[in-house]
Amino acid sequence: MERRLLMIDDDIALGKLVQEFLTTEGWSCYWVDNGEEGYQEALALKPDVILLDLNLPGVGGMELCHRMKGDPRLSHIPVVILTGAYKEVRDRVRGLERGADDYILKPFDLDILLARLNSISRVKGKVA
Amino acid sequence: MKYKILVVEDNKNDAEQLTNACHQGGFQTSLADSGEKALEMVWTWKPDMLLLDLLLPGIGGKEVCRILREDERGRAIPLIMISQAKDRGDVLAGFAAGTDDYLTKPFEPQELVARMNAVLRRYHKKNGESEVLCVGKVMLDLSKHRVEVDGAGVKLTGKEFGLLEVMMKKSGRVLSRQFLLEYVWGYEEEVLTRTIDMHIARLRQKLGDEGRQRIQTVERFGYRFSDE
Repeated sequence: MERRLLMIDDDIALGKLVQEFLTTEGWSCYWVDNGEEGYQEALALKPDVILLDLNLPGVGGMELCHRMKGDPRLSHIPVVILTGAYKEVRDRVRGLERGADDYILKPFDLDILLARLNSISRVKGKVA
Repeated sequence: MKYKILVVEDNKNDAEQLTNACHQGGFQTSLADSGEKALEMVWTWKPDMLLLDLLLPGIGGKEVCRILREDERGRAIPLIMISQAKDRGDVLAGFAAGTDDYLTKPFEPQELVARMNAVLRRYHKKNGESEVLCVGKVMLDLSKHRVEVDGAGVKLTGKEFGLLEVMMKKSGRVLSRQFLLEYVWGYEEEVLTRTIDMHIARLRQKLGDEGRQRIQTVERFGYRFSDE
């Protein structure tokens, strides 16, 4: 079964790296570099998982996460925060309390990212 | 409803820390000090989630996880592994066995609770299902972005909605102005703590008697949304 991932991150090199890696692991990856486009793309795509950076131009990642979780069209889609900027415990707690399903710090291991995404999509596939 | 958490840990200090964190998060707990006991209690006590140490006497944590995931009912139980093993190989083996999350010791109790809630949401939230918070006569529907008091709709601004949401989620607990500031406004914006007081005053007004009664000021600290 095809699994679709939307990555919202303004780091072009990282976007390409993740996209290439996950594609070889059976994921269809879509990537945008800003929050507003990310929101529209999420509505159009209805991906299985959204991978979300926090430091984005325009609408910030935390605000975007809150918006998506408050939108009935998107609230069921798991959001995984991927950040190199907000690393403190209070940041992680805030992200998870704002509705994120997971909170991963950069730099990260691609295999562990894949394991976490597979774990999330396993449960989503069962309950959705 | 309080979620039932089975803490699977043979080290007494670690078990106490995990249990305390769960209680702070509003969960009900029971303890199993071996893999065998954990598997027995899964079917008798029927927990809503397992916190699973990996180094256990007898059947180890990974094996417990594998056994559960091979069973139709066991697959439906959220599970978080908590271990001293930090190597990528250990983490990957944990996920391969079927864990939903993997935390390393020492852990921060607040983060553990936040991760537990995130995993529980994942299991209990179905496609398009609304997330509704109710305390007294106040109802807040997260997915519809709607608030009602005794069945009547109340119009709130985005910040007022955010404030009410966090206070209802943590009803009964005292929340500092700093916490509310960070949660609702984030770090990006420069906001005075006085702004919170103004928003709280407006929120009380909009929620009427129920708001004035439930949103309590804790002098020189912050606010509490009473659930009594």
